Amino acid sequence: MLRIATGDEPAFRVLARRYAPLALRLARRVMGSSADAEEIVQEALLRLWVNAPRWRPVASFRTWFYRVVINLCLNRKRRAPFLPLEDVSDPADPTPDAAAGMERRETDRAVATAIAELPERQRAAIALTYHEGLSNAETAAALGTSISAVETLLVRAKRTLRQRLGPMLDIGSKLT
Amino acid sequence: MTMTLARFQRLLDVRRADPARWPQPERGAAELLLASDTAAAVALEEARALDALIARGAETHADATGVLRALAARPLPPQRRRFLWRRWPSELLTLEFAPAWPRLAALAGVAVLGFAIGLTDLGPITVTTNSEDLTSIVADNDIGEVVFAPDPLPEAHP
Repeated sequence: MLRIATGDEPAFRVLARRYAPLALRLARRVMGSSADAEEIVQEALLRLWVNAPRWRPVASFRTWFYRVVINLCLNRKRRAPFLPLEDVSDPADPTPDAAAGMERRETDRAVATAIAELPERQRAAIALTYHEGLSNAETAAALGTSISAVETLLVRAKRTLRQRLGPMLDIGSKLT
Repeated sequence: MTMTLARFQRLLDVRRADPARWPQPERGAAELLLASDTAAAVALEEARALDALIARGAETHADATGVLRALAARPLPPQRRRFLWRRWPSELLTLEFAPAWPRLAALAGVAVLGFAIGLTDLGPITVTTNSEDLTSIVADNDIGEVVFAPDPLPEAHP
């Protein structure tokens, strides 16, 4: 970031290559739309470049960048209605058994839909903690809130998910 | 420390169904509850299953080629820089004067200095050449005489 702050464009390209996939994955989960997610990540990276001279290392870069992405996602969602996940796509099925594969895909789709239907901040908390591997404290920094607020988001999100995925929890336990 | 089922459920939601993630003081209480309450054991199994379901999409790979290509295709905008004279208030606000003891020492020093100045009672500075006048000025300003006299205001008594 220090090099980028001095206008080092190749350094920016290196950073973009490293963090764009992570940001895209997060934005996709929060937005539910690949096209929107790509626009958001592009915007986030441009903001990173433009504001690099003013960046201060008060938090880890990853947390700060996630915060930029999350804020862009939430701002865009305030303007546009939510679209259900378009690419909860069928992941490659490693199992030879077609029926098991189909069941697995159905479960994946149901889980993705249930997560996509959560309120946006709850969805962001789930994405950051479960899918990006952030601690509750890092998630709080990325969401610009307190740890206790993140815990409340997680409790509410998981209560909703338990209700919606109740019948599948047995399936989940078998799969683990 | 005892743990209720509701508290245990919150622990599962906030810290997941992995005892290694639970805070040490709560882990013992949670294990005691698990040993005595079958509802807690059911909640733990359900939380494990839910965690596994949520985490299933974690390793999804995101291909950012399109984003990077779009970025490469356009010139980067100029960076936003602030000159020192415009950013000094925020710079001052964000300065971290750690550790705190020099500030406390400075504050204590200023307090002692203020106390000492208060005791000395410097009074108004008057230019005079007459030694008698000077003596009377000093005498008039000597508040210690009033403070430490056995009965400084005898005329005040009835």
